[in-house]
Amino acid sequence: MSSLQFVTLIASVLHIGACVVVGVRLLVLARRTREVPEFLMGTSFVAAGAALFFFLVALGREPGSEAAANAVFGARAMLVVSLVTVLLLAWRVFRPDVLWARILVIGGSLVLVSYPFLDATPAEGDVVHPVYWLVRFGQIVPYAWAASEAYLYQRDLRRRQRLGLAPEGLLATQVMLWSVGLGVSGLIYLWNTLAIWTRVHQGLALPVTVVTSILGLVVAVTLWLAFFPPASWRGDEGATP
Amino acid sequence: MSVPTDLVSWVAAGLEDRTSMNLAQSRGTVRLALRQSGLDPRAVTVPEMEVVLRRVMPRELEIRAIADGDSICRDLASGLGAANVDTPAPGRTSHADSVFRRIFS
Repeated sequence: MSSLQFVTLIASVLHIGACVVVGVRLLVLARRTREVPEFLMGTSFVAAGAALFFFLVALGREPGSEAAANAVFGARAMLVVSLVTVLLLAWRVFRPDVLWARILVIGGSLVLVSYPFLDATPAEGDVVHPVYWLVRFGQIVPYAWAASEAYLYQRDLRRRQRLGLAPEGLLATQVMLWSVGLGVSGLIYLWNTLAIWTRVHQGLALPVTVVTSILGLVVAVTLWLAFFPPASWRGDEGATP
Repeated sequence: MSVPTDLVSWVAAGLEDRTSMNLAQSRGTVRLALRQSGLDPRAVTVPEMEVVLRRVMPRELEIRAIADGDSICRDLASGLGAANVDTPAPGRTSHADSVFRRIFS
């Protein structure tokens, strides 16, 4: 195993670990509270971790083998679960009464569920159906939407805190970190989709693995800090780190 | 003129009476002040509006070259208690607040 592969593996394991630990914690919370948002968020994290795990499994199998195809199908299915739950979460928490949000959730889900059944990742020179690109770029929408909503929410929360209209505390920082994690997750899919796009259309080689690993590490760190903030932050509630 | 039934309309009507702004300009000013306070105009409560009137709105009126904004806002804030307006349903902000307080607790 080369040093690059080793670093990629470590970054992926940390990314998977953060997703699974945070996701399970939220699912345990959902079992106690019987509330939908924590169930959706927990499911999205666990499914994202499972998708990454299956992608790693696929990379370790012989390309074109049945085992690799099954792992890719599993990864794509888990990814769809994660993305659809992110859409549902953004709708339920931020825009429950808004028609366009409902349409986005229904339309987006219908587009995303086709992903596991698409052809394998196209290679250079392949003629690719436009639906493939619609689905690939569509994967970015849930993360971009949820990240934007979370960013706007924490901005408003900070404004209310300044006026004494919301309790002081770490919440705005935690939501900001979650927003960054969502945004960077979207960047990972955008980056990988652009990599496939350029390979198909221009034969360009992008440093996909290295950038993806770095972005995955950023997601892991932001998630961890959002859900397990250091004691020093807790000890000085109200101060923004 | 019809009697305002929601808080934003009530404050906007008060601003229209006391300044050179028309009702549309007054409504826009109120909504802007609420946005700058991180509040949802559809779900703002009387205590929240009072804070906005005392701490945010005077600056908004000053920007619009309206003289004596402080006193206008104080007058409106002190009259809020007697305003006969509908109590808003909990908005998306308070819903999101409760969700994230549970999730990040």
